Amino acid sequence: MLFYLLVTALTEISSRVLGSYQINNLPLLHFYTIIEFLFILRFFQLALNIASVTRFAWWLMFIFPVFSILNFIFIQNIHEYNSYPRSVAALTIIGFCLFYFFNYQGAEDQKKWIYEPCNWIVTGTLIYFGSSLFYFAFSNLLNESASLSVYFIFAYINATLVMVMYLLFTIGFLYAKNE
Amino acid sequence: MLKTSDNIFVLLLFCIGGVFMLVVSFVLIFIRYQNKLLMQQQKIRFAEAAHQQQLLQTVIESQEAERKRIGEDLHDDVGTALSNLRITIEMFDQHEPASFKTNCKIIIDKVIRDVRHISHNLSPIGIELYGFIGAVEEMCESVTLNGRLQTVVTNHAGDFPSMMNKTTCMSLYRVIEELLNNTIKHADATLVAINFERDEKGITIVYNDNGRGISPSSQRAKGMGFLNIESRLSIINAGYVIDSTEGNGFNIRIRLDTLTT
Repeated sequence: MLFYLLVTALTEISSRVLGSYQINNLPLLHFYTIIEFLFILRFFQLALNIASVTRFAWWLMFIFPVFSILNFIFIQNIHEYNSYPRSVAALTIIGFCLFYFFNYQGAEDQKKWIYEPCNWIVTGTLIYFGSSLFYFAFSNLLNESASLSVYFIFAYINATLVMVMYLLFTIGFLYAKNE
Repeated sequence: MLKTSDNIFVLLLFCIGGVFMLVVSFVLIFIRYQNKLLMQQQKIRFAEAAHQQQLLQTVIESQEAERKRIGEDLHDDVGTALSNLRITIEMFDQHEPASFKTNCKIIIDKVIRDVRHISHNLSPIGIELYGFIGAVEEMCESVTLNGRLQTVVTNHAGDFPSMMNKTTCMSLYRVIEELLNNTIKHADATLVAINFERDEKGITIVYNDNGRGISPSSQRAKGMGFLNIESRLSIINAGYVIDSTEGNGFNIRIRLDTLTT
């Protein structure tokens, strides 16, 4: 649990640090997407603890960075939004979240849903990546065609969703601390 | 392609809002479902615990009842006979030694009979002597001799008792004894049929009487005798099904899957 907490804490710190650059510096977002994807998949490997899923996640953790790097070399300019890899990452993470819920057997452990820290973290992840999927996919279009005010509306919505995710993470950490 | 005046950004906003709502509803429904599941499991667990406690209570109560009965038997039969013997010895009349001898013999024989009766009740010696089926038949015979109840024991299961251990034999014997007691006390029946049947997996004991049967409501409110039966059967991992309606006799099928239990 401690290891998982450290990993997630690192994810948070890196996302916050890189997030501050994200506004000005788009190339960082390309790398941030990769790091974030790796951390979240590592989290799922530890949270699910199923051999086949762990193996599958290792493969994805190898394939996704390669795809992402190929994308900014050959497909999308590194100074544009990385809408393809970010959408793919979001879809993959949504898949893992849904798998986590379908695989959830909390009732068998006689533990209430709210007392399981991972539930809060997965909920936060699912809410953020699910809701922001369209924002990721249309980010280049927004950047090019939208007026500044519309662009900011979406940026605020995205920031709000990030905040919701971190709030849910916080609740998860609080429960983890109490365990 | 048809041109549209729709604002793509408004549509995008709808998409984000829609997905957000879907995800939140999914999580809420999931939590509700999990909580329901948890509550159901807790209910089942509580019911099981209560039932176990009730069974334990019955075991303790029946132990106490048994002790009381033994105490009463000893006091009323053996104690009284020995007191009689004492009085007879005290009143020994030298002129009538033959009558004294006969009186003493009668009383001593009564004591022997009473002690044997009590010890047979404590541990049915019949099982050791005649085997399980023999002991059941002997018990049924004594029931038939003592009252107007006819009993028929049919064994289609062959020599199954040799595959059962002593505890299982004793438990089944006690269960049949309790069933017979229930029939005598409450059923007002004239005929009891006990069948032993066997298949590859185990044996089935079918107990039938032609008495007044029991209503479903009284099936739920089990008496001490029945809880005793249940606890004995659960110890030997046997299952049972009662098929009885008021006025149509009582029928119970006891299923013992592994003969080695």
